[in-house]
Amino acid sequence: MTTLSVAELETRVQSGEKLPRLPLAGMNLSGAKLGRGQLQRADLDGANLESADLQGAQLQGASLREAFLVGAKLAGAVLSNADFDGANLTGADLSDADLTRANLAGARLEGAKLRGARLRYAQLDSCDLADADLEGASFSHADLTDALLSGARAIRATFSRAVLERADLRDAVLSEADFEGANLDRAQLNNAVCTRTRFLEADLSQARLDGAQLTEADLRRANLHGVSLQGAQLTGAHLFGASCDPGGADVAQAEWVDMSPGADGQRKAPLRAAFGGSGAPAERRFFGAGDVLRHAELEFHDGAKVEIQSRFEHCTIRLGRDTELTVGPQGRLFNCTVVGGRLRVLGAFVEQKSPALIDTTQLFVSGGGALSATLQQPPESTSFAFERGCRLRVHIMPSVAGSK
Amino acid sequence: MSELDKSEAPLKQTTVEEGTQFRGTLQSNGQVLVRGVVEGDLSAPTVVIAESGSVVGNVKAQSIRSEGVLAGHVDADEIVLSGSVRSDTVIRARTLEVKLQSTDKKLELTFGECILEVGDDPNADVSEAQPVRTGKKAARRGESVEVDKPAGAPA
Repeated sequence: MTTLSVAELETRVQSGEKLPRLPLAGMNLSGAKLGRGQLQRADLDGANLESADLQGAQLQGASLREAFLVGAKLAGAVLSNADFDGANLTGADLSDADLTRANLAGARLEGAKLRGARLRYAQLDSCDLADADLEGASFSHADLTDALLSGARAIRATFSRAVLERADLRDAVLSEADFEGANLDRAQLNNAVCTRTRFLEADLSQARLDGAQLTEADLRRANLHGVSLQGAQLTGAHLFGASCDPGGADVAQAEWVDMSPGADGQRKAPLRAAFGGSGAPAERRFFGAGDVLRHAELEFHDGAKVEIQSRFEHCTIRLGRDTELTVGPQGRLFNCTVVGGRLRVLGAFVEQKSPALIDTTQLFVSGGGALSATLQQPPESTSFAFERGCRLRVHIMPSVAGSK
Repeated sequence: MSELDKSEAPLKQTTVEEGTQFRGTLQSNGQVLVRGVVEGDLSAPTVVIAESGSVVGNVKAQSIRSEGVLAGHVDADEIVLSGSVRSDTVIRARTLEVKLQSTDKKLELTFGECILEVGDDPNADVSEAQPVRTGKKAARRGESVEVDKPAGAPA
C-alpha cells in the first residue's frame, strides 16, 4: 500500500498530476475528492470509496475488486477494462461513464445511475442492477447471464447481441430499448414494459413474458418457442417471421398484430395468424441446441415450419413447396443438401459439395448468418434477401431448365 | 485541403444520363451516377446505378448501390442491391445488403449465374469446436469447470 495520505493524494490529483499504477489497495478513501484524477491502472482492490468524488476520472484498466463504492460519484469517468469483480456500487452515479469491456461480474449496482453509460462487451454476469437507471445506456455484446435487472429503467438502452440468459427483468421498463439478436433464453420479463422495444431476431425461447406490455414491440424473426405469454399485451406487435408455439395465441391479448416484413403496419392480422394461422397451426418441427444429427434423410411436407438449432452433418432435407426451414442462430448445417422450400439462415450453413441448395424458392440470410453453398435456382428464380453483416460464399446457378 | 474542408465540399458527381452509352475506362474521385449504360472499367468512391442504368465490366468502389443491371467483376466495401445481376458476375464485398421481398410479390433482385463473396469466409466455421465453459464464470454458477493444462501436464 502507498504511504500517501488522503489529503496528499487529493492535492496531487487536483494539481493534474498523472498517477498511473498507484497502489491504493485497501485504503480508506471515503468521501475523497479525486474528480478528473489520472489514475490509470490504479490498484484499488478492497478500497473504501464510499461517496468519493471520481467524476471524469481516468481509471482505465484499474483494479477495483471487492471495492466499496456505495454512493460514489463516477459520472463521466473512463473505466474501460476496469475490474469491479464483486465490488459494491449500490446507488453509485455512473452516468455517461465509459465501462467498455469492464468486468462487473457479481458486482452490486442496485439503484445505480448508469444513464448513457457505455458498457459494450462488458462482463456483467450475476451482477445486481435491480432498480438501476439505465436509460440510453449501451450494453451491446455484453454478458448479462443470470444478471438481476428487476425494476430497472432501461428506456432506449441498447442490448443488441448481448447475452441475457436467465436474466431477471421482471417489472423493468424497457420501452424503445434495442435487443436485436440478443440471447434472452429463459429470461424473466414478467410485467416488463416493452412498448416499441426491438427484439428483432432475439432468442426468447422459454422466456417468461407473463403480463408484459409488448405493444408495438418488434419481434420479427424472434425465437418465441416455449415462451410464456399469459396476459401479455401484444397489440400492434410486429411478428413477421417470428417462430411461435400455437398455444401463445390463447393466452396473450392483442387487438391486432402486424405481419409485414418491413414492420410498417401494412399487414394487420389477428394474433392467431402469427401463432400458426387461423385456427390451423402449421406443422412445426424443432431441433434443439446441443443435438447432432448425421447422415439423416428428412422430408417435411407442404406448409410445415422447421427450425434447426442443432448441428446437422451430411443430411439431406426435402421441403414441400411452401415449407420454411430456419437455421436458427445456434444452428450449424455442414455438408447438407436442402431441396425445395424456403430457407432462412440465422446461424451457419456450410457445404463442400455441389449444389447444396436445389430449387430453393426463397433465401434469406440474416446479419449474423453465414452461408457457403452452391444454389441452383428453380425455374421461377429464387427470391433473395441478405442483411448487412451476413457472410457469404455463394455460387448462384440458373435453374436446370433455364440453363438448357 | 484539410479533411474538414473535404467533408464540407459540395458533392462531386459524374452522371451518365439515360440514353447515354459509355464504353471504356471511367475513373472518378467523386460519386458516379449511372442512369444510362456503362461498359468497361469503372472506378469511383461511390457508384449509384439507377433503375434505368446498367454497368457491365470491372467495377471497383467503396460503396455501390444498384437498382439497375450489374454484371462483371464487382469489388466494393459495401453493396446494396436490387434490380438484377446478370450471369458471369463475381461480387466481392465486405458487406452486402439485399432488401426483403416487397409485399406485391415482385422480386427485388434477380441473379443470373454468379458468385458472391461477402465478409469473412464461413468455411472457417467448419472446424468450429463446441464451446466449453472455463474459469471463474462457470464456477460462480456451480458448473463443472474445465481448466486448461499446460502441455505435458499429467491428466
